Amino acid sequence: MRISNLHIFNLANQSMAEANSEIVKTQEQLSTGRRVPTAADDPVAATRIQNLTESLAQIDQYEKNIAFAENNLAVEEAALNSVNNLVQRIRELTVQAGNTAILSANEYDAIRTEVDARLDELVSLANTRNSNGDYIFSGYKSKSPAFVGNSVNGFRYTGDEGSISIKVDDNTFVEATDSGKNIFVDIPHTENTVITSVNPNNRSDPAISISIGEVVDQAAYDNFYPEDIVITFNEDTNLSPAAKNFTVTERSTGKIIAANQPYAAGEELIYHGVSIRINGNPASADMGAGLKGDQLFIDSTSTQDALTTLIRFRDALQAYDGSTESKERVDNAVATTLDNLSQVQDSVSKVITKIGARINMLESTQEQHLDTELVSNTILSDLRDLDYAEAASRLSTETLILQAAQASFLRISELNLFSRL
Amino acid sequence: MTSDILGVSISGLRVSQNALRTTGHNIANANTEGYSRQLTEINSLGCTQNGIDFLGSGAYSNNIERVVNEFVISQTRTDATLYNELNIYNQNILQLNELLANETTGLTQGLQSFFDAVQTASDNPSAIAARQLFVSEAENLSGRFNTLSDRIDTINNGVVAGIEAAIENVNNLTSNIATLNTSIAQFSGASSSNPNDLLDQRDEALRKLSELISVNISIQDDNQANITVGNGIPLVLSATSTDIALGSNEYDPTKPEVRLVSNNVNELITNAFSGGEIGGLLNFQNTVIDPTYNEIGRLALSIEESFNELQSQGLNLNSSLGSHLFTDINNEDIAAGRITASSDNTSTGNSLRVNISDASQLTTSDYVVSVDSNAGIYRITRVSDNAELTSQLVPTTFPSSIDFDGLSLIFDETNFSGGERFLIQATRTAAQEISTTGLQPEEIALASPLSTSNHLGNLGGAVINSGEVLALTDAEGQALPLFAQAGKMSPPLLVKFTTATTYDILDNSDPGNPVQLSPPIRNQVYALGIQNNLFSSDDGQTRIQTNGSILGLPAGSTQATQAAVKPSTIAPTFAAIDFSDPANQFSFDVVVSNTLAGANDGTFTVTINDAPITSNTELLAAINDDLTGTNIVAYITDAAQGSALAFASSDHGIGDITLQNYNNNPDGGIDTAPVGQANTLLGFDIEGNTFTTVANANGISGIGSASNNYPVETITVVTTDPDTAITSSQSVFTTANASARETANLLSNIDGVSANAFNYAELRNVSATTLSPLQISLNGESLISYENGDVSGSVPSSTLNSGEDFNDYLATTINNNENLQALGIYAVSAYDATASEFYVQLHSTLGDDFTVELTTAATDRGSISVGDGVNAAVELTGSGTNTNSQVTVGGRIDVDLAANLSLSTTPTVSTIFGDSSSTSFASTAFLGIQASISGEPVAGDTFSLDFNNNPDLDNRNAIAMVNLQQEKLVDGDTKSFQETYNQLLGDIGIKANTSQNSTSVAESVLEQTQSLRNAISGVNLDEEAADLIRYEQLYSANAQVITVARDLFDRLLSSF
Repeated sequence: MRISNLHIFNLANQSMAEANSEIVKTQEQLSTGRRVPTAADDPVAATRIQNLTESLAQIDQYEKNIAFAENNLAVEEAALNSVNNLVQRIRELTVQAGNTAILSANEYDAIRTEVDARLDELVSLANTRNSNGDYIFSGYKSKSPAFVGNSVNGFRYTGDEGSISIKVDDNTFVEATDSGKNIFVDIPHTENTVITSVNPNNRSDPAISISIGEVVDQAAYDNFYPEDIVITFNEDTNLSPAAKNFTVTERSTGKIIAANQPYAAGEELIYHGVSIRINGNPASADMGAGLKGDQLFIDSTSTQDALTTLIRFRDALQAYDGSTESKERVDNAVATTLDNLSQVQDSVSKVITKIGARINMLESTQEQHLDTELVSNTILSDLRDLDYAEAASRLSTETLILQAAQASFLRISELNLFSRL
Repeated sequence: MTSDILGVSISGLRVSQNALRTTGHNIANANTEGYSRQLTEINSLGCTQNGIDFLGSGAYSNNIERVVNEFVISQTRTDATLYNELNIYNQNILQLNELLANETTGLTQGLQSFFDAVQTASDNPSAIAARQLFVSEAENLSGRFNTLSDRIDTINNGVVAGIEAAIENVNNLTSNIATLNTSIAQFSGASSSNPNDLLDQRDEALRKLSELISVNISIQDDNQANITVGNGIPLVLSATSTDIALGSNEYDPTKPEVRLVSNNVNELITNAFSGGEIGGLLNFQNTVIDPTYNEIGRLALSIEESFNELQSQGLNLNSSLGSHLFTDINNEDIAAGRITASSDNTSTGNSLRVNISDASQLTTSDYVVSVDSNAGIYRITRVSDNAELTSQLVPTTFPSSIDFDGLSLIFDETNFSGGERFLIQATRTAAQEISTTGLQPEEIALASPLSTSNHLGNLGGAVINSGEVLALTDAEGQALPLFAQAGKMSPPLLVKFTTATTYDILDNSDPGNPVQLSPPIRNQVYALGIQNNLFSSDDGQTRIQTNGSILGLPAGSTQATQAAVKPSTIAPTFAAIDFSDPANQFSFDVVVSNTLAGANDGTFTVTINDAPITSNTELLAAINDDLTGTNIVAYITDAAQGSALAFASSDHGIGDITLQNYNNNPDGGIDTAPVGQANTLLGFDIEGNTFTTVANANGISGIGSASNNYPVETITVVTTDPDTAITSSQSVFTTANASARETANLLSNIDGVSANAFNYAELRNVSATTLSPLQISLNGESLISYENGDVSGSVPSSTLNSGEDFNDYLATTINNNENLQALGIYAVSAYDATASEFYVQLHSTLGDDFTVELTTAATDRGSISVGDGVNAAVELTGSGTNTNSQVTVGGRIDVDLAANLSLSTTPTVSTIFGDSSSTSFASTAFLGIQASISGEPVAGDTFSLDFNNNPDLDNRNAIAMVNLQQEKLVDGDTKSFQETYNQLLGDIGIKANTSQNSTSVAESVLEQTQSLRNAISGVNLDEEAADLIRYEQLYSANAQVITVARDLFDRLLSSF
């Protein structure tokens, strides 16, 4: 075959350029440690690498979430363990208070003082905050305390039933908080009791309030139970002379328990064995203007929150004056309090158990993540990482080829008839 | 002779000079691009005849030949076209590939960081820092989209610039070729040999041209080259070249097109351009850049839409519904920018917009809207597969819209002329346009606006879950009322269990008095062991409340009284007559007609033909024995009614009873009793007489609400297929007097229809002495208990405590009655504050009719008022022993229809359903929320659903956002966001990989062809050096011949 000079030079140029580019490529691989720099080089590997990198990043986030949930649950568990110890101590006090035959009024006073102190302690535990400043037992409403009130008028749970879920795996969520309602409020009680509330639509400003309510005649109340009571303020003109008055009705049937009762703030009112006090200046009904009067609800329940139990117990102790009546009251209070406290302990233990189960779940999920991470990293390394030995020897081969091309070109270019003329 | 020799050698000298010159030319051009080596063709110069011999006369070079192989040259051009096309494509796609896969410019990192931030915020919804990270990462993500879009723009601009430069080159080359053509033709015509160097120049120009575009070359007889592209569009014809220019697309001025420029033609010929650099660049733009823009835009839209939607149905830290995280994708300007009129369009005053109606259904294609020639119809064609999606009449009312592929084309105004075209590019600029709205950290809506709670007073173990918001708008896009007002739920809801298995969902605006919703959600069935969803998740679901004129106790209802006949007021007397003697026997007929159950109708004969009758007991036994199997009984009325013989229907039914003399002899014997005998025995004279039930005299013919009187009607349910608009219908026929429960069951058998029957009645103003024969019964169940034939002492007086105690007794009896319990019937003894009276509520959860019957002593004339809570009540009055008054209250039905179902009735104004043509006949049943209850409830348990105020630690909406990462929300719900991007990366990667491979193949093919061409036409200097020596020797030899000739001549001269 005829070889033109142009061809000789072109060929040499090309082969040297190719050898150069191979060397540069190998050099890049050596300096990055990666086998596949772009999808164009190996689209299949690149796609798998992409997927693996993503799943690793995802796992990384899940691991952060798991750590976060574990921290949250640890804080909650610590608080609940304290609650359990505290309740145990109060039970001891309660048992002690049961000795109505022996204890003196002074001793009762001492017990009462301690119950008061423990009550404060329990309130502060129920209002535990975490490092974010969130009240951990307030449900979703974590910026306000779970229980608001004081030891005289009672406490109300102001949180809700929410509990935050944290995603720890593609389809796995873990609850990282528990609502205080389930732990402290929804405690089965041996005796039927009440829970009071005001109608949020009330027009009085400041709003009227109702005491937490107490069953003073259990037999009368049991007879009425499970009906609910509604107290509605009427038009002032129902009384003569006109004055604030209210009607007490049975919620489900509308039957009237007491009609047109004159209102006196703070007065003790007893209906069907339930004692309540209403405070404030209620808005009267104005039928002409189509306005309803303020309303208060006394709902039946078979639960009683731990704080109210303690307050009722404390009140019974406080009322102790050595009389048979007050002894009976203390005896009764001791019995119901003991029972209620053991329910509180049950409820707290149940939640602690749940927390334990969640932490176990978090740990096993974490292990799965670590396994997946290990496997993914291995595959990733196979796909992406460079075999240095192979690359190094390749580099020397390619260098050799380049050198050979350069040397041979020099020799060939010297072959020229003109130089011989 | 010498002159001959000289002539010969001079010719040799000339030849060798030419050859040397050609060799020199070759050497000089050894490195010239496109140069083909030349060879001097040497021929002998003929001969002259000398005697018989022929003497040669030298040599001449008749031709300088160019050594070429036309096939190889043409192959070089083809290969250059291919290589350059692939090479430029490859260069660009590698750039794009690098851009998309790069960690800093690609979206992979951005998406991951964003979703990591979402998760962090979801873990810490109350932490401002975590929320700030969310906001920053959202900005970062949208910034990445913008940057990526900018960088693709840069690549695209490079493509446009490349095309522009190539077009200029093409023009230069074609005019050069045209000039060369002229010269070549000139020289080719003038001599027999070819202008080799001109041809080389032209070949080189042609090669360069084919690097730019694929051309067809045909060489004319006069050696001129004609050049055409595509289907014969001429660029060079002989000496004329036609310029091309960069034109612009009819829709997009920035998109390059190739235009032919000549005197009378100015047309876009882009389609004729393939191959070469221009072809490669156009191809890259059409198959890579455009889809990439669209895919990234689609991804941006999907992310924007899904986050904005969740944001707007979530609650932020300020307890208000969130606003958009990203700017509105259907902003009017942006929407108007998605559709472009062709530059050929002439009409003005069109106002069109394209909204994204469902980003998950978007494709990456563009769409063409073309108007037919008389502007009456428009068609929408999807560009990717050229599928015609729809053809519609051009709208005349505005605004009007048409939906397709997740888009909604909105016509705000049209003024189309025939043949106009519009291009819809829904996704192309979205990556450019995505931007965040600059929300503050606390404005991220991580919480859900819905809060559910279990009432503390609940006695059962049922619990409600935390619920979720499904949508804020209904199927038509209208805002739903529930969260329409800031900071509250309108109205708050209360789930109240009426029994352990049924519940109502009430409007709890006033917790002191929860009322039914409109449309109501009442008497819902609760099942144990499952999660009971409280609401409809179907945004097209509608609800119909029956409100026909005949429901319950319609106007004009009256009590129905049991059929009875009392022919006399005189008590029977007895004589010891032997009725077995045919002479004493007698007979009469009892004719029963018009009963509700027609089977009871008939004529029954009573024959007195037995032993002597001595007491009422024997008399009744003798008569009733003959009436066995009928629904008629004989009885003796109470003393106040004269203790007379009477006949009544045994099942308290209504109808007519007639007593008539039996005129035919029953046994052929003499049966006519002695005159007056029947009168004595029965207390009335049957002979020749007829007695029929008459008004209110201890029994009337039953007219009134003895049944619910519901008529036969046709109910038709029409199903419309949402895609094809094809309808199908199913009809059911109600039966006469069918209870609401039966009709509801018929309806519920139709797919998508759920009918819920129930019934309500009230008993008021009971007034009766609690003495025998007082009886009140409900659906055949006696409520007044008897002991030893007297009313039990446990039944309180109906006047005690204004009737409260009696009502309590009735309610308790009903609630304790197992048969009524099994029917889902329960009662409540209640007080009506408005009417200031006690009453009993009757509820049927299954929708059975209530039939209330009253029996009192005739003297007592006791009464009870039965109402349905809507219409005027019907008063039942008692009319004596063994007879009773009754009234039936029919039930009502709520019908839920799934989306795309509608219900009609025949007659249109149904007495059961109401006016089915009324626009308010069916109302939407979709509230946009869902919650579920599980566990064992107890009647009276309540659960509330309200606005979620101060949701600091609520991350329900955040979880929904976190889940978006894995949800398949792109391309018809087939790909997640990340998968979409990965697929794009993969596609581009594979294309780049393929193009890299094919480019290197094309490169080596081109190299081979070029070396072949060089092997044939290239200059080899060694060869030329040898030629140099050869021709030098030739020259020397010829010079030697002249020397010899001179010697010969000299010798000859010297011989003289």
